[in-house]
Amino acid sequence: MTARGDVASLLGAYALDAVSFEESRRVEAAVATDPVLAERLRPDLAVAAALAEGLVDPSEPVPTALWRKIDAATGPPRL
Amino acid sequence: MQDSALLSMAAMADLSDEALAAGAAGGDHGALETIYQRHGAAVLGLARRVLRNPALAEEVAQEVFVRFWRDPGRFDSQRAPLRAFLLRDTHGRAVDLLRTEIARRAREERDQAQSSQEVPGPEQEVWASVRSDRVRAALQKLPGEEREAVVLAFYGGLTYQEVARRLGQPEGTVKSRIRRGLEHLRGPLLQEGVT
Repeated sequence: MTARGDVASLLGAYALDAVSFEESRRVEAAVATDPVLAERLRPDLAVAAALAEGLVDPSEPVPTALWRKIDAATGPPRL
Repeated sequence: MQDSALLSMAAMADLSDEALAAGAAGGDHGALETIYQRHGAAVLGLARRVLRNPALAEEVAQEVFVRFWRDPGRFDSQRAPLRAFLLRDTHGRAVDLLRTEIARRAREERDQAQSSQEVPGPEQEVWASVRSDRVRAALQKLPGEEREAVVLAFYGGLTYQEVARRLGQPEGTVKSRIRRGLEHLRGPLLQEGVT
């Protein structure tokens, strides 16, 4: 299998976060320089986003305690 | 100072995600807060359902927003909407932690000479976790072997190699099932406005 073919075979699993760290880096490096691979990956990432959205309960309230932690960690504005 | 930094929180709430992301990238902390108000519950909810551990989920959600603030260049609005970017980051980080936790538990079990056969059973648990009827219906329409591979990988947090071992199938077969499953999901999930 060619290097490109090898990466192409990983795109679906990559979109689902189902590859190893090394494979993930390999896919990202290839996609960054190969617009054809990037275009093939795009719909898989969109499906993965929809699957993630499927776990979200839209009625859950925004957690204010968590924002206080993020606020503290992000510090004063970078202006 | 950027103009957006002068906006009140109420005015900021009317801005698009793209405009808010640009504001946050320029150092506007109010823009980050508005992004959090808009997507924080989804990010935390997703992390909770993947990890099934509220404390770890909160760590992941915090990390996602802090990393977005510190390294805004990772988000490219040409590649994905902001919410999809945040949810992907959340899922990826949660899965990393999940694998670390599973590995830790497996080591502990070996140390205690117990069976390490106990692994999450996402096939059963996923149906209770999926809140969207549309996503549930789309998954149910998949051929069983594709659904099994997609569910174990995405909702179970397993790599395709782990899925292959679990199912007793070659790795290439599992990669193909995942690819075909994603192709079959495009119609029901991408053309009906889920994203």
